[in-house]
Amino acid sequence: MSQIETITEPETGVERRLGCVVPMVFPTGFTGFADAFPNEMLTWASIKSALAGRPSMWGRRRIFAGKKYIREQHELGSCNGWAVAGRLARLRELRGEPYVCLSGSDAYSQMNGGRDQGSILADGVKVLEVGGIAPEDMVPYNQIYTHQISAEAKAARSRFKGFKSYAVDTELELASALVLGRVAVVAVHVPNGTAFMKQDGDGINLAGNGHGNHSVGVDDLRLGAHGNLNYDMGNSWGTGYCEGGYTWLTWDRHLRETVKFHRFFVLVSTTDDPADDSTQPKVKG
Amino acid sequence: MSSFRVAMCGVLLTACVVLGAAPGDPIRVPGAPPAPTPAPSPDGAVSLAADQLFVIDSDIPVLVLASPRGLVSITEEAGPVKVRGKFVDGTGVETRTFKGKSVVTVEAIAAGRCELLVVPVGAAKGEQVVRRTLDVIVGQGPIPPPVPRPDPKPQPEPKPDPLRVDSVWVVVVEDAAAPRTIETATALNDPYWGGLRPKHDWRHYVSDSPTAIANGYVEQAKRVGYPAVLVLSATDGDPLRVFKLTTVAAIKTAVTEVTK
Repeated sequence: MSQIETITEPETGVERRLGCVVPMVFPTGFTGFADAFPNEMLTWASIKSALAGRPSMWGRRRIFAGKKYIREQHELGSCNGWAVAGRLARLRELRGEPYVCLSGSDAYSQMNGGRDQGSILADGVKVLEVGGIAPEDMVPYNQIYTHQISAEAKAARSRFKGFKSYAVDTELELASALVLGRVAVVAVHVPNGTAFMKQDGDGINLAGNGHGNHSVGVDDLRLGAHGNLNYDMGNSWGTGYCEGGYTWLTWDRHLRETVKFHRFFVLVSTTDDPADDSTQPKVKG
Repeated sequence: MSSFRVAMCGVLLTACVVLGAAPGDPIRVPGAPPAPTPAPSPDGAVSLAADQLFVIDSDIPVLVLASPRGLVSITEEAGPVKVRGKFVDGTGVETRTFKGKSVVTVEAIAAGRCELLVVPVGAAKGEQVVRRTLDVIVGQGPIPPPVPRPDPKPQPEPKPDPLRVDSVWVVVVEDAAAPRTIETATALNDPYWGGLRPKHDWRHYVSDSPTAIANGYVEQAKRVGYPAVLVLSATDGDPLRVFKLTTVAAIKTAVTEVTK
């Protein structure tokens, strides 16, 4: 892995560790979304038709608004953990599970090797599907190392897991998955300066492409003002970031380069929490 | 009753005689079998064995109820649909195609006698309801003829909603190996789901989910096709409605029909 980068927010003075690290070798061995669901790949025409006349496909920025969903990683390089935990928490709710705020720091603790030196985007898949993620009330933001995490929290991880993640390499894969209701984890590039903190008149983030140093979630999309697609990025820098913690990305401006260095993925479903009080009935007979 | 045609495949005339309905009616309900195996009941009841299907083929939306509950399962799907199995009005395993918009399959769960009520959605008069008495036979060898009843009295008009429950679980099961469509995604992301609570509850699954398999959801879903909607009694998991997902409106209708 390369060295972790940092920036200082000009207006607040907060130092942000950009914890999405470029792997030395591009991760392989992941099933691609287009390979798993070749018939689920949509055409550009059908995607744009579905988005026409809507503020966004699903209105998820409104559904997942506020501090309940937009969490704060503070000065730590745990963005990848928060991107993964946030998507898992959202998708659980989208399929009927009750809201549980999941800990990005717990997820990060499982992929940082015991040092706050960031993590690789693809490692989030293993945390989602194998390790699981404990609730944030058990693992607060500043507990990012395994030795800080209680046995109770570690035991709770198995209750909150993703079920089926697929690699995404192209814009059509990402757009198809999002139009069909999935959620995604991607890498963006945060440059020095203020660009990543600002948006243009259409709400598009002013930062541009690069190798990618920050992990974020993408939960929704819309038809942009110029006929292209915009992707709704949920950050983990608190609700003061851009618009309530969200900003819009485009493939060409923000993702076209970063996808070459990082394993983007989408999450399709989640497991049931066996400890959920509202356990559903088995079919009678 | 005269507004319904009661017929199915080769038993058109038999069934018409049983209910005195005219051909061309929109709801087709099987009557007694053509051959005496099992022998038709003297009081007109139809014997339904554990390996048999009682299929209602309707061109109009219907609500099918069984009283008392627990003796049969009732599943609904959109037609046309091809079904292979042993039919109550047939003589062995065969394949039939049901062309109605609403195809309801009734299967045996526990032995006993129950009455089946086929109520057209929006029915205003009692005579619009088609009734069948079923002798459900489970766990036996050769099917005996039903015991004659000495005084078959005219059956009372059906009560409007004797089987409704307080609360349901609405479960959707998608095929893990098949593509999701925009229409399915739209239905699964509808605000309706959020409004089901707190009275009811819900979950969405893919078909290889361990919970969906262990709870019997996948088995039910396979019978109607993916993506499937299961409306289950929250108290005992009774599958009150099982049908293929089309729109949220269809789910709303199903939940309304089975809840108080």
